Amino acid sequence: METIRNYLESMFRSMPNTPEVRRAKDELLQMMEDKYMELMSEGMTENAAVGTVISEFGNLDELSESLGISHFLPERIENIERQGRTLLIDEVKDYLRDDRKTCVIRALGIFCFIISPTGPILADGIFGGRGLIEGIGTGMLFLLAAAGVFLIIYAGNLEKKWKYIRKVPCCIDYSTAAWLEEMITQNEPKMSMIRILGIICCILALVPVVVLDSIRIFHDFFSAIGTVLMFVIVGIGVMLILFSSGYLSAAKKLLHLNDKQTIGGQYTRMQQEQNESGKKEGFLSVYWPTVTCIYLCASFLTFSWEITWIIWPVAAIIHSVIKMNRKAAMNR
Amino acid sequence: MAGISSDIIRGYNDTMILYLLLDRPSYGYEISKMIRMMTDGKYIMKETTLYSAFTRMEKNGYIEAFSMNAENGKRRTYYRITDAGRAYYEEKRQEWGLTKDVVERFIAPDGRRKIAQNIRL
Repeated sequence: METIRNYLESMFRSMPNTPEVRRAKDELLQMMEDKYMELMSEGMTENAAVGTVISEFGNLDELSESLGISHFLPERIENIERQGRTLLIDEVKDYLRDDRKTCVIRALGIFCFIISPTGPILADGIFGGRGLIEGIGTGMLFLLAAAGVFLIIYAGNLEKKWKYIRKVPCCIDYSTAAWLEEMITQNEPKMSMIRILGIICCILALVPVVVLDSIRIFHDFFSAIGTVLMFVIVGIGVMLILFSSGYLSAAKKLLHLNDKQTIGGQYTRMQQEQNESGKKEGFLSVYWPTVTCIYLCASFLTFSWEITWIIWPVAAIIHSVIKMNRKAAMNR
Repeated sequence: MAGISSDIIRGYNDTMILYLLLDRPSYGYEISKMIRMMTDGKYIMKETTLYSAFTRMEKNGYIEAFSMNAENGKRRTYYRITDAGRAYYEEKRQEWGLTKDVVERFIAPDGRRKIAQNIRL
């Protein structure tokens, strides 16, 4: 049945998205499904049944007149060209895999930034921070900051490879769209759980500081451990938030590739949501590099690494708010 | 063996569908199945042909579409014939009687020409 559905959807792909066309597609599917069911119940093999149904389908040009779209026919070829190349399912899977990798690497990079002050704090709190130890602590700070820069640049490069999906006209076929939607619906609850965990981490980060700071013996030691734990927990929290918001972004982007004016733009429920505006898309693509830049400038100018980490959770929250706003604007 | 003449049959697709709707409303696949059975599989109406006949006749007011739950609980579009449809069917019936009568005068059962006999000069 899936084959028949795919066949019908690909026949209708470049047809204008009007109520008449949608109704025709539904009705034809109904008839084909009935026929398929009957052939199967008569003991035909699935392949033979699919073959019979498709061979007896007829010709779409016959419909164009009754659907009032005869004037669209010469445009159809042009339409297909404008929609561009259909992405293959393997290509789509590669893209999703790379995008997830990008998302994880970027989150790790930001984690490095956030925990970078822990070096000096440990050196200072535990070993009294003199001489060589202080040097090692400061060295750790620069090392982690450098690792963060490296990871963020690396993630950006990984992303570049797939830029053509947005630049060159591309589209996806029905089965890919259905697969993507299925994947998103399956993973979305998991992602919101991860996001909540991340937010909880950011909130609870202060607990170890308060608790360990109240210990009177070895006060410097425990207070340093508390601060270090805070950085690590905030780092994990921000990482989780970034991961949850980035994990499905490629799949959602792909679902919005098809032209909204055609049936191809309506394959799935999620595609019916309005397309994202290109302007904000551009804004978001420079968002994390900008935040990184602000963070580094602020940190190196003030040298108050113990405060500047706050830029990251705030940036993550702003990012979510922008995304939510955009969604709300699209629904209107 | 020669196939069916699509030119001739095209003009009577609507008539066949209306005939099947005379007694009771029906839906797409049932109609196409009945056509196949009644012609012993000699004529299979394509899905697109059937659907464009539906939309055309609906536009002309010969049939009405309505939605109903089928036996298996699935929602289906059924079609019912209207009075205008019955009148159109009657018109086509007479037209075919006449057409058949005329054409058949020129078709000899064994392929031989019998012009002289028919005209009786």
